[in-house]
Amino acid sequence: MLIRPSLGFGLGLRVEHYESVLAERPPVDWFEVLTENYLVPGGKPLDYLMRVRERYPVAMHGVSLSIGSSAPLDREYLRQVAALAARVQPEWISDHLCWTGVAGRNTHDLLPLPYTEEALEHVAARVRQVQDMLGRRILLENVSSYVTFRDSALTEWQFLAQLAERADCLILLDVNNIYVSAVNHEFDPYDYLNAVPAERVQQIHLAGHEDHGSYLVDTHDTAVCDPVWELYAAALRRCGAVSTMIERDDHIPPLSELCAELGRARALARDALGAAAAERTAAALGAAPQSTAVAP
Amino acid sequence: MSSLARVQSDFQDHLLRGSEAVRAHLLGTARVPLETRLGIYAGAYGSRLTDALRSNYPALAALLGEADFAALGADYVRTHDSPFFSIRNYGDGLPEFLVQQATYAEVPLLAELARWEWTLGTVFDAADATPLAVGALARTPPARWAQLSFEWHPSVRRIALAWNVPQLWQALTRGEERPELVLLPEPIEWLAWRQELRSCFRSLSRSEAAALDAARAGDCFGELCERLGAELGEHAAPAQAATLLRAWVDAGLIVAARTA
Repeated sequence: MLIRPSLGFGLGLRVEHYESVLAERPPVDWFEVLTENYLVPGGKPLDYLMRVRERYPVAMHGVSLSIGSSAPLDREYLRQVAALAARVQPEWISDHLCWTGVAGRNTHDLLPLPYTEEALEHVAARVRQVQDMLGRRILLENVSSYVTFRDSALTEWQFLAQLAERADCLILLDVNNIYVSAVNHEFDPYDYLNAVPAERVQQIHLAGHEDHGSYLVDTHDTAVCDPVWELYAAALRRCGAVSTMIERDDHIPPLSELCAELGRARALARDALGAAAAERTAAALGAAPQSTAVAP
Repeated sequence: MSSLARVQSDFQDHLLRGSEAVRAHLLGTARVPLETRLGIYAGAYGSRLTDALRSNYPALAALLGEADFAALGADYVRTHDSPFFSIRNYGDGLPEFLVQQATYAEVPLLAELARWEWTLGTVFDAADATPLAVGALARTPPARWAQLSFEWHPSVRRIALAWNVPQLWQALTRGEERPELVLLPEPIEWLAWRQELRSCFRSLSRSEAAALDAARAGDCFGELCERLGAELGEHAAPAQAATLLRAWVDAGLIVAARTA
């Protein structure tokens, strides 16, 4: 078994909720923290993080690994991530399948890659390097994208699946990002989902986006929409019980509102996984009629 | 240059400099033209970095108002790429930028407010350290006091301000009525630091500021007494040096005292 058992249903830890999380012990199973927010020498951010960590499992989610960049890996960044991980003891460490800058610059955006053999080999080698340096498998998340590269020879899902296999890494499947990119690039999100190596999906992200009519923008500033909930249910049927969290980075509502949204994910998972379990049972019964026939 | 490196270099040049070479690598669709698609990235780049400035300089943003701060952000982002892996560090050059740009240099208060906010930001997440216990110095034998030198909390910062910026900053961040802006007859010396998790600041007399700066530069207690002696006379100096030291220890500015 490659992946860890599900942690259940989590939220992103946000400054606005620090006090409520500590005082109210909300019904959240785990928290995802933005790694870079805690790559600081000391003070309040780290103090809050460590106090939350005493109460909840925590996963570290980075935005600056720039795994797809043609520039060399930033070893100082990785050293700091490793030091934070040694302190926080996270359940896992994730970042994005993207690049953020070259030539010593950081655009602070999750920029898409051309899906070429060259990029695939390059990224796979870097993932292996990072995993060696951190002493653990990392999770890479599919990003929302808005452009297609002329040179792309693979689909995004083929690229992701082959990368995970070659680099032996895990996947953070962002269901909203699949949906956003599917609309923007006019593919079927279920084609993507059905090609994802389910055995490597250790975490799922849910989030909201902004609808511009002919395209969508991944904004994380609104509730999860119905088509994304449907895709999530399908993801669970395919991948089984996977740690799930809701990302909200802007227009952050009170914690109770996000807990209610998380309740919807829980209910949906109960239904989807119940149905999936029933399907598996039916399939098992169908596949073994003789043994059931001879059973006493 | 590999094909991947070329694509990424062109893409980044588009975001940072508006160069168009990236178009050759990309495809648009009938439904969403390439122009629109690239516009999403270019727009996000500018607004993300301006948002980072707004979050690092909230009082300056409140003082300038939405439109003027957005214009400042756009000017700064156009001329300052981020070399940082954490966006929290973006904007370190803003005080200097405000001094150098003629439009902003006409209002020197802006650069001072920015310098103050950046200083407070570095106090906020400076490294943690355990302050020296208040009673610890009492255990030093009197004969060794003259040789005592001090190690300072990593959050300690010093700044001199020509305007009543801390009062303005306080009013802006609390949403209170702004004080009248005053250019002081001479700059005031300020000390900012963190006591446990609380960020603190206070003004310093010229004499205390000089003593504190000297002690942070490595002067031992005996040298502090000599420095104060020139100002207060030989007899009054040791008592004043002890008073200052006591206040610094009480405030948690000092984390260790040792004899050479």
